[in-house]
Amino acid sequence: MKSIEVHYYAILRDQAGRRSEQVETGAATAGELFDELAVRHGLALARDAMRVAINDEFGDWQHSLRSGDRVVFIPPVAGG
Amino acid sequence: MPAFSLSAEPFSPEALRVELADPACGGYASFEGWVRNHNEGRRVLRLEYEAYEALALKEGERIVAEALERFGVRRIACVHRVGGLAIGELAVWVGVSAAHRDEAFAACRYVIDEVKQRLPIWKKEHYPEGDSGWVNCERCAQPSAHAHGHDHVHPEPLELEFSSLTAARAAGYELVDVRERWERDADPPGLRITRHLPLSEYMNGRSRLDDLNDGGRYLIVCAHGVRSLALTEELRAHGHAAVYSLRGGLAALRA
Repeated sequence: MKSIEVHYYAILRDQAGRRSEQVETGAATAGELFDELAVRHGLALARDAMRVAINDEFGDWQHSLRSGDRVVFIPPVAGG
Repeated sequence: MPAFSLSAEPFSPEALRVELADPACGGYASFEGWVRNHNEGRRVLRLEYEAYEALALKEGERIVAEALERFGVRRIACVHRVGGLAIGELAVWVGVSAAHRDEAFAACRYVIDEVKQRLPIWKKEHYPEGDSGWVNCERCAQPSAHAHGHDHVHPEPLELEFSSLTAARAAGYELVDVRERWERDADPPGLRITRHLPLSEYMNGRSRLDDLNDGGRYLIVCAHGVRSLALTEELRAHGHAAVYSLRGGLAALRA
């Protein structure tokens, strides 16, 4: 098991009902972590419509997680 | 002052403009994005912007650096608001100074387009009916995620506006090009839309679009948005709920 810091923004924050959490997980990749949390919190956003950031840099869903990583799921953006 | 910043408070572009002044510059171009009172057919009362600040600042600086390098302009600054904004308020500002106007306009356009597509910033709209929605997100949510807490039906717009095909794909739409073959032959190499179904073929036998009811969201694309709108209306009438027409067609993207 590893300990991952997860932050939620925008629609995902609304759906998860929290801004952040420390997650103990067996997920090997960022994608597996999202799938696990989607079930736990009822996150109803398709993964392929989103991006993911690991330690404040864009990454991909296959990114291997390490204990202490900070993960942010990025819903479709709407700046400007 | 960093080239890109986020501001939780209203700001004045005038002070920022002065920072871009340079004796070697003969031109200055700027863009202001304002909060609009409507979006996708609904009235909007106010907005909230939320940013993933650490990554937004990095990505904003990267966009500015790319524009400096690509267009050879002298100085660039960009500020994006976060927090609650009223109609008419300044939401984003880009300023560019350069030796000549051409590169100033081009760099300014590049920065605002990339900012809209790449920055991890989200926009929540508040509507007169009392509900609210995250722009570009609500349609990506699965049906169970309709979290407004009431049961009215939102009128689904037939047409959607996007700044680029990339933005449409990023918002979760699969593109369907309904132009004829000869029209596609004239496309620049980068433009090719994989899924191609000429309207003439659809008219000959309408079974070909049945799989557009598979739960995905489809954006119908043609040259000027006329044929795609007609086909979208036709498909909606036949029970395809999640099809939309690209407003203005490909011509609107190239303008």
